Amino acid sequence: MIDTKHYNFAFLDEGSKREIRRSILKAVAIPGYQVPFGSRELPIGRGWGTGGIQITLSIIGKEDVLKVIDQGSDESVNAVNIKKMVEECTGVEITTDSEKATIIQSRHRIPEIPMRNDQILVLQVPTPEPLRIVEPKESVTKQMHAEAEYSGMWLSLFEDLTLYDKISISSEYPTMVENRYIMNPSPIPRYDNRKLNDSETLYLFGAGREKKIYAIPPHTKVESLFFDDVPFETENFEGKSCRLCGATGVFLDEIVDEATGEKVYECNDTGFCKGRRDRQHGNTNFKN
Amino acid sequence: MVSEMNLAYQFDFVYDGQKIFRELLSAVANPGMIKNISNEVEKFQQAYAPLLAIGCTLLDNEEKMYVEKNPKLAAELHNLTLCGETKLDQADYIFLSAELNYGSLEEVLRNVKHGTYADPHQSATVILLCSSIDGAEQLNLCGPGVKDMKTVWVSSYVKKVITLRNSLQIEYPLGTDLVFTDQAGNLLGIPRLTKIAEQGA
Repeated sequence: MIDTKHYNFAFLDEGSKREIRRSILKAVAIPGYQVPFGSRELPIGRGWGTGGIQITLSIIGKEDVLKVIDQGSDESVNAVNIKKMVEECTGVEITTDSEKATIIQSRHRIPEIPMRNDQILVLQVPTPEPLRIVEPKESVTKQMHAEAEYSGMWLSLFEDLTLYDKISISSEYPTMVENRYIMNPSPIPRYDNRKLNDSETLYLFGAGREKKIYAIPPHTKVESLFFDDVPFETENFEGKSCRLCGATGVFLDEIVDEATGEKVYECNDTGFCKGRRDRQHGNTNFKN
Repeated sequence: MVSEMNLAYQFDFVYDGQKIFRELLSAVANPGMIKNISNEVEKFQQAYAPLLAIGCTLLDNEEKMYVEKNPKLAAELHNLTLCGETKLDQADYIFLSAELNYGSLEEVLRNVKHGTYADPHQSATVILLCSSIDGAEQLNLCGPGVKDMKTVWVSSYVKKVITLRNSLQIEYPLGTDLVFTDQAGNLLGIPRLTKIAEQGA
């Protein structure tokens, strides 16, 4: 049992929180740059969102309202366990309403409803280094960032183009932040990349296993990499809608209906979808 | 037997520290947006209360600080946080408890750690206590955290420090991050990428 009686508020000791907080402040000052930090042991395996959890635990206060989502879902195992842990060791209010939340921790999605300036989105990152696909050594990628030497990355995209006639990266599509750092936006779909640019909200990225924290402050220039003659493309859901709430223009999951064998679509952001359905049925607790 | 421990300060390192950090985070993420930490600052009934409150939020024995010409404040910060003192060019956090003249300011800002190209985060954060952040000087800010351009009215000292920092033209990602505070507990964050916009730009 992890609770406030047996553990410090927000589980981590104050020294750990201070180090993570200092790293967060530096990350915000240098958008897109990966600040190394001493990732702590948690009662959850590394690679299961420990970077995001450490950020959330370091920033959260008693008045915060927390929402945790995993691949758009409020109810997946990872999201539910993280919510339980943070709730038990802080006593903060938990919500599935992204408008009510002050902190949203997410894995692989940015919520559909545009976030506000008074909210913070914490993203869990498995592989923070965008150059890892072209260079396996950390010491070398660090130097590449230092020199802004990104030709390997561009070449990798070009090779992809020659092999498949299009850039085949589906998620964690690399971005350029403030014309300086190439950054891995975490495994969000391409569809969400545009939400990083000139956003109202602060994005904090935590990689617990790789011991890195980085950030995108509000109103920061974040461009997905593209060639002059090959524009950046996102997933296309034209002509498709959610079978549950009827939403269009949102990121949809493709599901095969077991009864009919047909392809059907549902909103990937379950909180958004539930909010729409509640409103359609006259429940006004949700504002989505 | 003493039933209740008398504390020198009412500052709570867990909860007050968290609140100050969030305001600081918001100030650094939104340059030009003035935040307030007066409720937490009040818990140090001292002349340098805002610096003590920020110090207790950020410092510990892992970091090194430099306090300009104020041994009393340096000793107080050390007692509260165990943060060690060091020379100006090696410090992670610089505390300026009084408004400095142009020459001294330039000396400080030129000689603090600016980081390296590989490790730009190993740079100093300068925390400045001024008589007032608000003032009659118009400052147009731009850069990350600012939508297009933001106009703030600041004291001449604040404008002087930001202008001087930017005039040093340290190549990004190297640089110095500034945090202004005043006796009213106001906070203004000016990270290294924040620029002063030209009028009409």
